[in-house]
Amino acid sequence: MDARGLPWGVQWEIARLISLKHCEWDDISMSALDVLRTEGLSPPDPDDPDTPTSTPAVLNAQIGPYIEDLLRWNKHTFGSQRRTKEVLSTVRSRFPRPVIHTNICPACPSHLGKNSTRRILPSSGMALQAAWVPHLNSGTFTAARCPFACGCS
Amino acid sequence: MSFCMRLQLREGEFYVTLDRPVLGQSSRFTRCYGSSWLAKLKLPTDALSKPDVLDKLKSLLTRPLVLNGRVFRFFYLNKNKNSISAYLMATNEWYMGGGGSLRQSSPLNDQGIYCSFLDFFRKHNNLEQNHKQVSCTLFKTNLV
Repeated sequence: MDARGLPWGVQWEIARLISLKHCEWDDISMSALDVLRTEGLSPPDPDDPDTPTSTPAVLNAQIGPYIEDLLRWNKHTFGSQRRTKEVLSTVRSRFPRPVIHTNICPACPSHLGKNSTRRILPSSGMALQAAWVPHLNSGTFTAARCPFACGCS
Repeated sequence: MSFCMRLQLREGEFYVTLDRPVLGQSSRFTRCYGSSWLAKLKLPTDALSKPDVLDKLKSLLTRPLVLNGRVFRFFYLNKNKNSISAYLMATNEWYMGGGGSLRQSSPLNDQGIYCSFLDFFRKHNNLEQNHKQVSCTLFKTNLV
């Protein structure tokens, strides 16, 4: 398993299935480990998909939920099954979680009572800040340039 | 990630079953060595009240636990009202199988991640510098 670069989470999952008598050590064949290795490689960088990563690593979250299907029922269901809530709670998401950014438009007299809270990604929130802060500092901020789309006019 | 095991007593024999890895609380040691360094073993609460079972438990925990070639050793016991948990640390030993010998340098140790049992205590709780420290829970329960 170490020679194939399987992470400890995958090795633990295999040992867990054996401890629960869901499968035997005889079921852990070299071909099954090769499948786990090839299916669990990290995907290309979403920011730069053209550049392949130099040393792709096997990710726990990519193959951890599907190990039992492969070893118990010989199902090749990697990435085609809808993950249950239990599975989602046990794996790390490789995508950034959305956070709440409170947009307080400087053109509005008061943001109280307005629905100015939107759920956006952190990268988008930082882009918004970068868009309006220079205008605010230079004193050239106008409602026409309001990036928050809060309805102020 | 938190890796947890359960120790079950069936007909006088111990059986270890592994739980699914879950997102758990962080600690100083897992931040230092990684979450795969620590394994938590939940003990049956009624086991400590029986002397014969307690003797078996002592002999079990004082021996290394090998999981997929990785060697874990018991180093701490946490006792709450409802549960008793033993914490095992991954060492730089490596079990090759067959002859029953432990190799002192594991593949992970080449990266300088894990250390030996004695080096761990020498680094984090050196008994030579504080030999008058209060006995811990481990000794209060007479487990070892």
